[in-house]
Amino acid sequence: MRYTKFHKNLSAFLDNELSSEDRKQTEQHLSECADCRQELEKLRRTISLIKRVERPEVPSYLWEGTRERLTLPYKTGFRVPRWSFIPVGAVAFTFLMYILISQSFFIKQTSFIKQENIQTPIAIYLQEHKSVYSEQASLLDSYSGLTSTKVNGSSDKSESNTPTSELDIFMEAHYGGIQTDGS
Amino acid sequence: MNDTDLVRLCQNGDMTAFEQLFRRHQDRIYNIAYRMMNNREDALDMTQEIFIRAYQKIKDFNFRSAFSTWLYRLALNLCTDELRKQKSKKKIEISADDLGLTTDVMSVIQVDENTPEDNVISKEQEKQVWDAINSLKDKDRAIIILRDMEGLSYEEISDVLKCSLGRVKSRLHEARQKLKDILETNTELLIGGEGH
Repeated sequence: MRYTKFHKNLSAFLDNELSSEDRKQTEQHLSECADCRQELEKLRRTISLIKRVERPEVPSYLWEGTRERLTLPYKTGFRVPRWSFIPVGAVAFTFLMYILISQSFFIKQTSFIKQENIQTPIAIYLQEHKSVYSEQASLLDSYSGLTSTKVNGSSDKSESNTPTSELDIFMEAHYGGIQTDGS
Repeated sequence: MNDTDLVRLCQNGDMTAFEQLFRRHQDRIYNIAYRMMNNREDALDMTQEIFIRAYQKIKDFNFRSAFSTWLYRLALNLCTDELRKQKSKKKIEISADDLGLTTDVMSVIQVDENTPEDNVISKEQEKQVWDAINSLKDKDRAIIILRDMEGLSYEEISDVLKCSLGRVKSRLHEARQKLKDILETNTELLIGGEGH
């Protein structure tokens, strides 16, 4: 019964929105079908209950509030469309990226320059003693060839005269020993 | 002056004409917003928004339908959009109790002591009806508001909802049927129907 043509027409029947032919057929059916009559009555009561809900009263200040909003520039058609923020945002983003990239590049450059011109005490010391170290390095190179023979050769000497350190060996080989008395 | 004349004046920037249109249609628009949004504050906001949009778009109105039809369509679209936004933020429990709307909504429901006994319903019954209406889907509620609360003809509804008369007929019947089922299941309001 529920999904018959007649059942579907019950709302329109109540609203008097059926064609004369459909109305006639529905009336004929209702006279024969108790279920549909009951369904029709339930629908009628449902509609009646809906209509019982009273209309809310419109506040008197509604127009004043609306007019006030209408006079605001952003509410009267002059509002900046949202899409227009996209190019503005893109420009801002590009500018920001440019600043960030150029900043990081500048930092790198200056740190490199700083590294080159670094004037720490150690650097000054190394620079000043650069020549000394290179001399010593060449001396040590030549010394390394001598020490093996000299050490072997001095093996016959008394223990008191045996060089105790590489420096002693070096001084002895080149200068005849360390002069501790200043002469 | 009819709506068409006022709309023409509005299209030329006449705010006084727009005020006349506003005052002429505010009752229906506010009622639609009130029933759709289910609370007074949102209804007030939406009513203002609907008229502001109407004012902004009135130059596009091409007189192919009645101004009222165009305005109701705008109202329903804006309310539906707003409800969708609200529902996406949080799932609304559409219960008058939970929303604290009972007092607000019930305060405007009329109880006419002088009506025949068949028509008298208690506050509790009115609340049941209101809860049932609000538990319908937006589209079902909309068509019931247009027909049973605002009294629009099927033809006007078909203009507002942009669908055929046949579709209006079936949609309205479905919505009423759902409401009837809810009332039948949850209340005793429909008992003893036949014979009244």
